[in-house]
Amino acid sequence: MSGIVVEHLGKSFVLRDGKRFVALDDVSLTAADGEFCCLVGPSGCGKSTVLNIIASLVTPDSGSIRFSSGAGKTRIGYVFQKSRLLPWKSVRDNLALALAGAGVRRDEFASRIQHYLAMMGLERFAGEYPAALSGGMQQRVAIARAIAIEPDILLMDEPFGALDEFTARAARRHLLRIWEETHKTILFVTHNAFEAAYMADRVMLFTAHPGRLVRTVTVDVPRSERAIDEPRLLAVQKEILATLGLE
Amino acid sequence: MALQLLTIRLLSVVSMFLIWAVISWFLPPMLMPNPWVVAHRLWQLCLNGQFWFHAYGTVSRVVIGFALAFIVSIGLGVAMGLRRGVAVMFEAYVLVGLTVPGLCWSVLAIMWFGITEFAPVFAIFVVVLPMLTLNMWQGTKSLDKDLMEMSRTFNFSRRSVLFDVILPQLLPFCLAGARLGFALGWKVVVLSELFGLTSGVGYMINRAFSNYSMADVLAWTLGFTLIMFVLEYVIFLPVERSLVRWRTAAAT
Ligand SMILES: Nc1ncnc2c1ncn2[C@@H]1O[C@H](COP(=O)(O)OP(=O)(O)OP(=O)(O)O)[C@@H](O)[C@H]1O
Ligand SMILES: [Mg+2]
Repeated sequence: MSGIVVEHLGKSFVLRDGKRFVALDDVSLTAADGEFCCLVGPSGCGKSTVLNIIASLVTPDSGSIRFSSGAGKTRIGYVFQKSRLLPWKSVRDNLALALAGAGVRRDEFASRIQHYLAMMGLERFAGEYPAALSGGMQQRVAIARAIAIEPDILLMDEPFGALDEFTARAARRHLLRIWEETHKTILFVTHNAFEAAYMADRVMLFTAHPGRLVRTVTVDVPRSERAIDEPRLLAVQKEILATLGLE
Repeated sequence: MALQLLTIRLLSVVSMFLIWAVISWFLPPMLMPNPWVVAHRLWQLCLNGQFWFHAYGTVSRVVIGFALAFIVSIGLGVAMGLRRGVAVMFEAYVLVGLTVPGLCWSVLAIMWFGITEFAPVFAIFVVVLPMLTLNMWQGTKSLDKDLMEMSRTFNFSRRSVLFDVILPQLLPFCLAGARLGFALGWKVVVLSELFGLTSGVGYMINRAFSNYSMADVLAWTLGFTLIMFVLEYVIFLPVERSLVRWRTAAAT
């Protein structure tokens, strides 16, 4: 378990025509231990970049990241925007490689894989190659992989973006149930304002060019009262859209 | 569908012999003997053991020279793809190597090392290496960056990154390289054999040439082509099939 403190992140990229492009401009945010945070904003505002910096795949030009997990290395599970499975490995082996990387004991592999695939409704497909699965199923395998290593922090980059509305609804309920059981710290990127209101404790709103965190909205609706037609959630959705200038 | 393809494949082979037969119809046998005469000659060479002896010599030289170049090219090509400095260092070597004709290397090797088994192996190695290295270099440059990031995020061991992430992506390049390298090796080895050695298919073709025996020249060429066919169907195609199994997973 771990909280995250991100302070004054700056990141710019040099484009091929030589111009500098500011992807992140002085972004500071925190996520408390066990908090569910959503990052919402238009395409290109730097949401994936924030997650990549936290996962240390991208080094920021300025600013710092701290994890409040205390002793030891903070374990991060990442669901990428695209599933990023190894196409030449079966679903089972894709999970097994992540477990090996996380230092899980080999005799625990089978039961863990079984458990987390079942959680995503995929236990029948353990022996298949990713090519035999639909896009949505591949994304669920990627989610299973990220959760199976039982991370301190879960980074999710539009994990349900590729799913149809039916599957997405089931997946959202699923994720919330897992989160309520385990209370991992989750940073969840989405384009979908209602999804953010429905899932999050707090929603962080970004604007693009340059990428800035403009506002944080706290969703003050108890979990037990969150239905998809709950007026208070619809109000939060409206507020998000208004802040982003979409309504 | 499979049957249809098999028919076409048969047709393609049969048509080659037909074209040959038609041409031999119009030319004197001294210039172009017909396929049956050549096949019969090859059969005799097989029966008296000459073909096997010389083909073994040639194939073993190609296999050794090629295998050495293949191993070195994987190390060198991957290093060039991963490290800019290594690429800049060896880029010129690869380009020069690609440009110098195989003939030059064959002659040089024999002048340096004399009539030894080492000379043709060296020539094959030097000619094939730049081509294979270029191939592995390209392959390494085209590695999927997203998957490399994924393997870092999930803390894959070095061993696992190499064997589970990098090599599976390079296998198609290895296979393409093996095919091209083998074909090139065969062209170089016959030159070496022709210039200086006392055994091998190239040597025998040269002898047939001295005797002005067109049937012999073609019989040796045909024999070696058949060996290449066998290699393709017994080694390369099955390996290729097993490599792309995961790609066709959806279809089966
Ligand atoms: N490696 C890179 N090189 C150059 N520019 C980059 C690179 N990575 C990101 N960018 C730029 O940084 C900006 C932010 O990218 P990022 O992927 O974080 O956006 P995003 O908010 O995740 O968008 P989306 O919702 O479309 O996924 C983009 O405008 C992009 O062009
Ligand atoms: Mg993104």
